[in-house]
Amino acid sequence: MTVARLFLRSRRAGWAAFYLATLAALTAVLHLALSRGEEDHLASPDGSPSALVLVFVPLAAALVIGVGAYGPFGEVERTASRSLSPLRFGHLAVLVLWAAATLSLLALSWDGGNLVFMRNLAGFTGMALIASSLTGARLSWAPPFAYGVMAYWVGMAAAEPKLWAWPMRPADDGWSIAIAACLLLLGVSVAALGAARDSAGELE
Amino acid sequence: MTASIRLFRIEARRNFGLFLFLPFAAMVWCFVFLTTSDKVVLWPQVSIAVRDSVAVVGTAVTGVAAWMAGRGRRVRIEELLVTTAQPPVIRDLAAWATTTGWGLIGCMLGATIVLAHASLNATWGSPLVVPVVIGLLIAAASATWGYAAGTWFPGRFTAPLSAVVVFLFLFLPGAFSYPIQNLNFFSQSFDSVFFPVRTDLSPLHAAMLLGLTVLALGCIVLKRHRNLPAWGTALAGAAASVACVVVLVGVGRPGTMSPLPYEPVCSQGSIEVCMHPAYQAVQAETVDVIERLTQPLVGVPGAPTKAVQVPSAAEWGLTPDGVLRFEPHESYAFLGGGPDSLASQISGVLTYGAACCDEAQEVIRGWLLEQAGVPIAICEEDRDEGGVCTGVPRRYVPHIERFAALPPEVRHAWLYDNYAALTRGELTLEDLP
Repeated sequence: MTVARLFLRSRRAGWAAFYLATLAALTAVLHLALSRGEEDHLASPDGSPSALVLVFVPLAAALVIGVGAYGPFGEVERTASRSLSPLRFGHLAVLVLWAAATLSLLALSWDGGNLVFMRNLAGFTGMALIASSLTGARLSWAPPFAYGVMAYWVGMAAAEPKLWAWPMRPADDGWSIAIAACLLLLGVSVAALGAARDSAGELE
Repeated sequence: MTASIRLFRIEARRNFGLFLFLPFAAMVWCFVFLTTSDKVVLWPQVSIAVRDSVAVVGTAVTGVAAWMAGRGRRVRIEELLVTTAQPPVIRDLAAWATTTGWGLIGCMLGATIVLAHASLNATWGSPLVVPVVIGLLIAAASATWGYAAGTWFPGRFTAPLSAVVVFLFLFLPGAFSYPIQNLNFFSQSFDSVFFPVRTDLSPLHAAMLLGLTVLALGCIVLKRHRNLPAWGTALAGAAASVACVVVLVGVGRPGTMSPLPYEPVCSQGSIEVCMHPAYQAVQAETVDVIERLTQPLVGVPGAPTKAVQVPSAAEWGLTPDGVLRFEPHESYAFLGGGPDSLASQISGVLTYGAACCDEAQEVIRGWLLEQAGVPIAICEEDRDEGGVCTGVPRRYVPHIERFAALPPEVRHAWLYDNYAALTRGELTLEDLP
């Protein structure tokens, strides 16, 4: 138990959970403030969240989870006698579930949108975790952010978003759900089995 | 002074932006490539796409700037830096300037490649400098706010969150109607070759962005020195930004623009097709699409006898005097657009009329596409049940095949008698032959 607590502290898990909750709360407050009267500026015509919210709120949550995978000990940590994979997996699972819970609560303030929130959270988190093994966890935000911005921008311009812009596809699109699930599975596997590519001795 | 210049040179060589300016350039190119057409290259559209792309990539520079602001703390050299001769604010300004500079160099490199390509292929208009400058100012302001966030709140979460927050605040005004819409830096966009691109709000947008940049710079300096010049800088930036917001909101809804003069280019086939000269590169294939779709309707009462390009998709339609009004921009504006997309839309105009998408209309639309040799996208569900498919629902395929199997003279006779009722939405599946 002590090991798990220390591991979570080294990953700033408390702060990550705080940021995830704050993100959902601020979005809900923003939605409340911008939906007075007849107009709802953060909603689509069908009452679900607008594309800006559907893409960027889960993206922000995923980036927090990705950056949260940073460990300050680098290779030193890998010399530990016990395997760190269960700890890494538990840490990521808790954060993903917490993010999913906060986004589910956030989705209540719209008519629908929960499925897209979950799909995009899963896909972006997977991308961030894959990126953390390539660029280091602290820079893991860059690839999913660049991709998210591109998918949103191109998806908004096109009448029918292509499959590569899966975060912009409709909620019931099976392929986009499959892509997001695969990304999450791959990302969690990569991050749990091998730590993010970070060097020791640097603060966060 | 020499020491400061040397510091800037060292910073420029050691800055993380040095590794990212090529990816930034690639991103700008990629954004423009994905959101414009490779067949119809229009200067106004490309200029606006460059502005938007540079602004969007600027939000990534925000994160990099926030990351750079925390560098000293991250590698634990803050105490070491305290012992250097230069004041900390000079170090901050050097790091901010070089990070922003590398970001802007990357954006400008990408923009240069795009604009060079446009100069060789553009068929209409002339390059617009003002939108490109606005894009660069957005990128600079975003980077400065990122650096300010990284200075005040150093930590692992600052870089990603500042990038997302800046992006949201850039695009949030776009969700509002006028006059708040005037605060949207992207509100003045390219809609059609028939009208000029509005740039009347650009000076106010530029002043607002400069004010926001100065405000962020003031915040950076305030972290190190809470003196009068720092407060003055921040307050001046805030005052300029607020003044611009007030003026922009006061402008209200923009008036309508006068259309640009042009000489349509017409070609005569089974029906006459007139288009804007900017679309000359795709005129032959557009005429071919219209010919193939309207051929079975020649001589049918209410069918088109002429096709005319109109400024916007809102004006699409078939007039009572037989003029097919179409807009190829919707089909050719983006990469991957083309004659099939145009055919899909024109077939809708030919069959839906004022009442969209009843069963008989779907069948005849599907048949028109099939006989024109256009691949039909089959939807698994009906159009009103959601989904992204703009093709033909699967349950109509047998009816389309039955109609296609009829002798041409029977089909033509049926269309002759029923086309007007079809476009009025008065027919059912039982009325089909």
